[in-house]
Amino acid sequence: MSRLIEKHFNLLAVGALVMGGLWIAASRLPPSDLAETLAVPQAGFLAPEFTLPSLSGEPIALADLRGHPILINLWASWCLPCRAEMPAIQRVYDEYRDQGFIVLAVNMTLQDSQAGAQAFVDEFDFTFPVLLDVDGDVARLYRLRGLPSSFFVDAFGTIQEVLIGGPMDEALLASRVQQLLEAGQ
Amino acid sequence: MFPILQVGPVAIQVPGFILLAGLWIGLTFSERLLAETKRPPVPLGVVSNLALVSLLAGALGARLGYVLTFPSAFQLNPWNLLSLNPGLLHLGIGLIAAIVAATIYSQRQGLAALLMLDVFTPLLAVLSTAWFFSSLASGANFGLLTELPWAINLFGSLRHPSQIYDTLVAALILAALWWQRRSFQLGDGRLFFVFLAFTAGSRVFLEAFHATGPSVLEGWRINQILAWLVLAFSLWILRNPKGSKSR
Repeated sequence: MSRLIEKHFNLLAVGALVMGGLWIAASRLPPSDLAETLAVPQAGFLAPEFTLPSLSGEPIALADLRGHPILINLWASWCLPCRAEMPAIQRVYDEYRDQGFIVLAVNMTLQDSQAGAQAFVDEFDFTFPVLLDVDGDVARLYRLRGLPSSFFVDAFGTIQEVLIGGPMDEALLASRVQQLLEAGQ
Repeated sequence: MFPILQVGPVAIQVPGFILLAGLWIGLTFSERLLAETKRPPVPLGVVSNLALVSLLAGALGARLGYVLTFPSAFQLNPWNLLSLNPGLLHLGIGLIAAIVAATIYSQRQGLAALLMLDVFTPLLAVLSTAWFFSSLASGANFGLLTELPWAINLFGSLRHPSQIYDTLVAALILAALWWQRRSFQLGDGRLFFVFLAFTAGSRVFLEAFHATGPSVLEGWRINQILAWLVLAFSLWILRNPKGSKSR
């Protein structure tokens, strides 16, 4: 068998390369066919839409924020990594908010409490919108697997990256925000 | 898809765990390949030493590469330079740093490059399988929409189980090479380049079923084109072997 392969190696190699080239040509797809139009909480897909009340009572809809790079951070006040990463999120928000960066900190109120969320926000004086997922709709929509969960959404509404677990540090957040800003240009 | 395994209060990142397990198993395979030769051309400890040097240089290079790519991101908190977060690594630059470090270490220790490539082929083959299996765990590299009977329901639609194709083919290449390992002369590089040719060939074929991955110019997939070039290079090397031929 190996002697046969050695004897006809050139023919087999050229055949493999020609077949490979033809397959590459045959399997190409227009980029538009690769674009995902489904809303799924997974990198490469559109971020599922939601509308939630903020701590101040004002409703905020994700759809209204299209055109901005967004970090959707799912958290709870009892979750230690969530608490650890929030100050870093605030610092990065302060740094990039002028460039259109938005943070939606969605409290998993069904597993937490509004009072707990409010006390945590007051303690650190966060200035980004904190939303209340009272009925667990966003937890279901985003298939919550662990806290914290972060979804980096570009200006076109596409999820670029999902990070489950934490805490995230400033450099990670800032570099991802820079990528989102570049992607939106 | 199972990206997180919750064990009590601890959330284990399954893809990372699979890659670490792959590294350990692959090193074991490489050490065994060397140990099986009648007169090992280099001490057995060379495998773990070279792997350690490559890993350390790779990690350092990957972090340095990330810092150079996003220098301003580290201005908010310079301590993040020392962060253990794997998200702050530039994989491409890390790989180059690991290869450079491995080359320098091999030259200083008088280790032949082709021999080292052959010895580390089982590690690369196991890591390749582990990489695709980790994609199955994370949900990355998912497949195109299809209505074939073996399609899987992923993200609300029927898709090619591309991660399963990738894992099975990588495992087949590993199994075939391991089974045939005694028909190769360790040190002439043929084991490595046969692995490279089969892997590149499989990527040319299987990338076509991926919905993800960069594409250029009217849907030509860059991953397929790169794989085709690697296949051509591997076949050219196998056609013109520098070392002795297989037994």
